[in-house]
Amino acid sequence: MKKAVVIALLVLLMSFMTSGTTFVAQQASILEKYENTSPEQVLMSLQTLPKAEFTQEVKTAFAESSQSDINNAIPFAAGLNERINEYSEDELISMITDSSNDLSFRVTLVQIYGSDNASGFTGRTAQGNETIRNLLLDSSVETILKENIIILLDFTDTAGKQMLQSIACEKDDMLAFQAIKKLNKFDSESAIDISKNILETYKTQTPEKVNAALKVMSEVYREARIQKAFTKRLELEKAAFIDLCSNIINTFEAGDKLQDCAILALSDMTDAQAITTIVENPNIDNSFKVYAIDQNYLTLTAMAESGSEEAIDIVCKAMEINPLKELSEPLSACQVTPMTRSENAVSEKTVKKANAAASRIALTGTNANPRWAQFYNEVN
Amino acid sequence: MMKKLIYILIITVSIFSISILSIDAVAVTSGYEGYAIYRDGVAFGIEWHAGLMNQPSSTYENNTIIHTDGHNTKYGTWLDFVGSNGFKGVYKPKAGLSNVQRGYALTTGRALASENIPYDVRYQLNYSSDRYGKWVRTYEITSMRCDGLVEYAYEWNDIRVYGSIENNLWNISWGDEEIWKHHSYFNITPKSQASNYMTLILSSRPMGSYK
Repeated sequence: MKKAVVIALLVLLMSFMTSGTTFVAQQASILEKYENTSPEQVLMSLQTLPKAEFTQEVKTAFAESSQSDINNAIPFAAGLNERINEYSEDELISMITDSSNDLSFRVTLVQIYGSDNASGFTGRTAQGNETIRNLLLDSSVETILKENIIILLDFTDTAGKQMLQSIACEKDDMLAFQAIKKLNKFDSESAIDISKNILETYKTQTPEKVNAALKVMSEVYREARIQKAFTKRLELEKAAFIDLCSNIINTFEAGDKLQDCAILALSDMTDAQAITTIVENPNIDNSFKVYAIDQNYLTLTAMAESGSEEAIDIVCKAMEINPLKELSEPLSACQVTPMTRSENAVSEKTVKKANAAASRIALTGTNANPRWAQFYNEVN
Repeated sequence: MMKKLIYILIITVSIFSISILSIDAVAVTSGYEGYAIYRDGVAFGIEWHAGLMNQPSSTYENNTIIHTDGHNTKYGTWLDFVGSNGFKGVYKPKAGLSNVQRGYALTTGRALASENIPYDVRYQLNYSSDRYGKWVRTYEITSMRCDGLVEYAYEWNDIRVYGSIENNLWNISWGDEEIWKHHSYFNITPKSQASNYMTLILSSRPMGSYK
């Protein structure tokens, strides 16, 4: 009798192991199932599956891809994109909040849910938005999922703003970065306050918070130039900001990310003082300088046309680094005007420099990137 | 005879002067910075991963490359990029790439890294429809794929990589629904980007000290 029970138990165990193995193999075999299939065919095949089977295949493919390379999931993500409106908002929220689902799968769902373009989910409600947003309060939720929620969901109501303000001041550096950047899109006053506080104590702050604050303040000064809103106080603040960027550039090691962020913030200001700082700083490498000169070709044009000898001098130095055809005319003009504009007269030495710069432009100059004109003139 | 000699001398000196002046004004890059790099190991080895060189060669330890690693756009080490996979080479766009343009693309890549943009499996580049009809700047991108980082770094600077010229769909940095779709799913992948729209300039790992 005992023997029979043991045999029965063994049979049961073996059958469980076999079926278990089969189950695991089935679960882990989605990528293998489509191994010799083109991505186009995978997508076509996914389109024909019943919803439940489709959902399971996509979930499993994401989970398998996360173990190898997430790009394996491209056709499955495409399939999800195409069929997203077959799901109700509750179903999507349930898949997003279920932590047993693969992280990249949940991130992709948030990206589709939050998109306002043709790839987006059309059934979004304020209540659903709030439910997903509340994942930010859960400390067990992964940072990258939270980052996507901050970037893509709506936070413009009072509770949303408070949520972002709180995250901006918390320890998680990357979330604080995304929260400050998001706040700056619709509540710039609060983003500016937070940024000023960060920059006052930047040496004790985490790098991504400083990075975000540099971006916010750089935009403040660019927009002040566009809107001609500079006051004496704002001019002083701007000068202090440029000094702060210079300090970061000069004290951090070459190639450090924060040093790079400080250079980019200076360049994004599209300001005469800021581009002067970049052109003259020996700690900034030429790959940054050529980019900043290109980005600031309209700033440099205004400097060349200002009649200021110092400004023209900087434009000439910039043209030694990256000669741009757009600067040829303003530099030529400053050669012929000094005698008639005594208050802005430039010296013979500067005229010679401008001559040399114009010759260099004629021989080796290239066109500036016209895309920067929109950036130079557009208020966000 | 004398006149002829003087004439030849003047011509020679002029050509020499022009050739000297035609050299890039300053050294913008010293090694492989600003070129695109690829490795295999995606989709059973049939697909690739893309990035940009941030340092002159792979022997520079810190912030060697710029890529998006499945989470965010960022700097990384050589090992972060290649891992245990096979390196597929250093590439430049078929449209050509001057020294100054490499500086532009490299710094555009750095600007993308500074934005910590999340990874997107579906689209080379994603952004709000608010940007339709305008240029899309780095800080307006909501998510991007690894080949999108390479595509944007060059195309923002007017250097075409992938995309139909006839239908004016090539520049990924222009906000437009058709361009956005054209650069999505598997219409373009890292491997097809390198194989069809780039020129291989070095098949081995870039080595050496340049500074």
